[in-house]
Amino acid sequence: MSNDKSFVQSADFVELGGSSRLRFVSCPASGSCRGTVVFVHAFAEEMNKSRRMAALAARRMAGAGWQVVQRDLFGCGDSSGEFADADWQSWLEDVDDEVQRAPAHLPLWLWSQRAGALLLTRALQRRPRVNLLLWQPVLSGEQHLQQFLRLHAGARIIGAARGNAQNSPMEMLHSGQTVEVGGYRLSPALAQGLSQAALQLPAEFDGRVVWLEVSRQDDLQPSLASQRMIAQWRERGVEVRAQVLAGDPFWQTQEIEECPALIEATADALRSDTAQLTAA
Amino acid sequence: MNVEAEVIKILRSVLGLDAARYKLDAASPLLGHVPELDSMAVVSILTGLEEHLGFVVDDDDVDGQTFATVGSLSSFVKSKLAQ
Repeated sequence: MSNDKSFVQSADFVELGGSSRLRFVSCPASGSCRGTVVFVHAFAEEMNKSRRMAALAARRMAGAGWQVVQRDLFGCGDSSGEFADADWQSWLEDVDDEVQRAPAHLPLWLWSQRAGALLLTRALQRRPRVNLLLWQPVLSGEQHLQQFLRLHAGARIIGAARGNAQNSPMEMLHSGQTVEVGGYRLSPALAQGLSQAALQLPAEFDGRVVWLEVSRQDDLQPSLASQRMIAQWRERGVEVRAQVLAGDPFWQTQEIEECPALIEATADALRSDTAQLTAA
Repeated sequence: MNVEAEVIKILRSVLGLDAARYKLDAASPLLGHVPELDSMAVVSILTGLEEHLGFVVDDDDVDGQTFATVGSLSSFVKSKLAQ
């Protein structure tokens, strides 16, 4: 019998590649876990804006019997390193490392927020029998990078003519310079890794997918690109449960916002799953 | 797909221009005429179009002219979809 408020939380540091990572772990108070949920956070400021929602969901899942692990990737949050020194490979390793720590005999969910979905590939190759919980997944790293750099360009687009002398952030990255965008120092290495990343499932993938999006639109449809990806996966025989909840894009909004409907849908997805996951 | 209709949908959503009070068609002027259209709104509109319609915009291809009217923005989107 689970009590949604019955959880305990702790933080610990683990070593990877000679530097430390902060892991925040939420467990059921009973001490007995039905499985593990590994959270992969979003990119740059979206991670910060999503903290509250991620925390609410983690507590809810822990109260329902799951061990939820939230790791700050290298150079992010309270883990070692500066954002400017982070690169895509180290982030893939971080996720892979976390998956290796999850008990192999219990169900495992990989839960990603936004561009976190682009960091699952290595872990999925290691352990294809996992379920995916994708919150508003980013499909294209290139598109995500362009959108991030666009913060730099907004003012120029409004005021300047084409061919203005000032170098664009992309030009600076291509010439090997780290650029500052919205308070984050982005290195050419990290930009390249992100731009080459795409949401994909390895051929061996053997789990279910829960795809949750949040929309302000009345018709509550996933984006066209999401719909295409979902259809492709279903054609392959992957079970995909896709749902769009009404709400604001909390990972981008000025004020920290909550989307209770997304928490409910998340809890529901995990609750209805256990019987299938434990099949050998 | 009616590109202009999709563009208008995104503009209404980002700029908060509800259909009852604001008529939008190809000739409707944007930059300099809609006070809500500031630099952050430009970013949100381009992002919204990219995510909804599934293409990538190179910021170097965009300037004030792109946002002159609903029609100029729609033409830009059509050219991206044709690539």
